[in-house]
Amino acid sequence: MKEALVYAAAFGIFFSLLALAGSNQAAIGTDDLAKDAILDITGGSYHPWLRSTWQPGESQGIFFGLQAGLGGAVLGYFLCRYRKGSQSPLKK
Amino acid sequence: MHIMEGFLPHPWWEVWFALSLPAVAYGVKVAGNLAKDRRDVLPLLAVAGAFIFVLSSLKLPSVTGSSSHPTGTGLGAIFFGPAVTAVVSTVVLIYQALFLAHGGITTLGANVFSMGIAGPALGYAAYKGATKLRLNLYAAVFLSAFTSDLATYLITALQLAMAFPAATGVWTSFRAFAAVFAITQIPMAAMEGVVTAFIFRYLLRARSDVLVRLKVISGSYAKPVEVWH
Repeated sequence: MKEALVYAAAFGIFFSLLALAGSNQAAIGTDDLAKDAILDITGGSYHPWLRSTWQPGESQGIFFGLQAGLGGAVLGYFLCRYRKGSQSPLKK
Repeated sequence: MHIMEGFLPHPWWEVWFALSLPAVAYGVKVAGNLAKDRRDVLPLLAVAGAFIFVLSSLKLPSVTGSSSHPTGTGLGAIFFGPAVTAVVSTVVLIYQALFLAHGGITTLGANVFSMGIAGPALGYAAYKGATKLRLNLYAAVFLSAFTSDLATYLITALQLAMAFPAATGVWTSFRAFAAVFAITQIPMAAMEGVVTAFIFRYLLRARSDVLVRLKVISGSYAKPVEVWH
């Protein structure tokens, strides 16, 4: 159990940092390129009929990090329990 | 593959909601039954869900100079089928729409359809087809994850092409959107296929019995695993 928690923390931190680094890189996302393609095809006449009221801005990395950290922790925990050959990770 | 908030006009955003809702509702029912009757598979469900959480949070640069996200849905599709994968994908997409302004609430139906339903369904079909043809098991897993990832982006291209047909037709539009997504996504889908095959191998060596019970592998695939133990 203790070892699994260590794995959970290690995986959580690792993937969190990886997601944080990824969100800060400069390469333009395909989502934005698709937006440009829509404007190209419609000759710039399409305007989104609703916009997100909240933009994460600088905190985008933190939210991606949170998502990756949560997933990484669960992944680390159960992969460690499986490595130990547990027949039922839930019961131990 | 996120279609941004407000970027699907009427009636398309409603159409994708109408198509996605029944699949997600069915997935909730299947996941509920698993939680009630099949507690032995719940850790595997947690792993498959966490895998989607992790992979879809990574924004990775590709050889084309642009960046994109893997989907991570292939593993869940192989283990539990597309319906359960749709539920996990919906949770991820709501989180990203609300907190990251990636995708949107009005485009949630379309994004769930591409990432949570169509991509995993095609990935699931690829896995079943490949194992029926007695292809190497890990090659089948690779193929499934590769298909899930790439198909997600091609479906997104189709959704956008249908909503924004060029003057010369939907096909011209589809080619334009597919060029945006697919070229970036091919190396990423290949990488996702390799990572998924490694995780699958790890889980197969640890718990081939659960994978046999889930009908992911047949007994004959499980035999060599006994030797590894």
